[in-house]
Amino acid sequence: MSSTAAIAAQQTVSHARAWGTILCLLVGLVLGVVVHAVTDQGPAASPYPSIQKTDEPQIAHDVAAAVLNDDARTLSTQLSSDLLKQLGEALTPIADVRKVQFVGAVEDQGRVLSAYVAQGKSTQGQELIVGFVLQVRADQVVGVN
Amino acid sequence: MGSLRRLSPFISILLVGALAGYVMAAVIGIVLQDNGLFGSGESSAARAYMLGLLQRDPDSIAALRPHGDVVQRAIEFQSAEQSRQATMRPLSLTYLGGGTLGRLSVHIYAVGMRASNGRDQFFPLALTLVGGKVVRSE
Repeated sequence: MSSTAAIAAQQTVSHARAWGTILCLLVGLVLGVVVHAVTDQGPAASPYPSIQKTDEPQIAHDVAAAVLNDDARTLSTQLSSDLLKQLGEALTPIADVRKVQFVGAVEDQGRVLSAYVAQGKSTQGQELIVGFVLQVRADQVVGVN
Repeated sequence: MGSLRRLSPFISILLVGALAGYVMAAVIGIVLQDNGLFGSGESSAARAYMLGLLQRDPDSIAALRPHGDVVQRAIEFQSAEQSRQATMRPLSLTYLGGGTLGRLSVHIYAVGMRASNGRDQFFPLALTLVGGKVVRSE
């Protein structure tokens, strides 16, 4: 075989090997994703029924807004002293609230549980998140967590 | 034997690709789930902890708590045993929602229970997780 033909044949083989390598890698990637999808079942099935979610109560929205806006005066008119203490404990160790997000609410026998996630900084400057729930009955906040 | 030797580099590349694909899918899945972009955002560990609480399974609960001191773990086993002796029946478990900040995540549930005297209770539980372990529940 002439040297030109030998070089051409070698190049063909090199290209074939390169494409074969890339193909194997792609097939492997797809295989890995499929295996993960099959084996990862997510959270275990719950044997208990769940309650359908409801809308955020207005009073709970107003309380959450007062917390977010650092509006202590409004908060003092919305909650009793006991509930303010409970809210303080629920927000601990966050001292400076930067974000309050409503995540969901459910109702059972006239009582609504309205859940929030608060994000902010502790007195040491550490960025943290906490969850708290406002319990609402007859348009009044009757409990925290 | 010769053909196997010729194929072995490709088999190795296939296996490396499969491993990379598996890890990539796991990482992307966690990011999407924790940000609520896919699924409810509920953590598997949080769900397992709640089921362990409702089914009064102290081993499941202990496995999802940080490895604390022996006295703290003994207290948790005692508490689980006492609640097992109580006659409260779970009625419902609803995931309300949650949030994530780095390794910290919060997941909030609503639990319905019925006491032996027929009285129903409905209360929330907020779980804080760090690295898949429940560090706070209230």
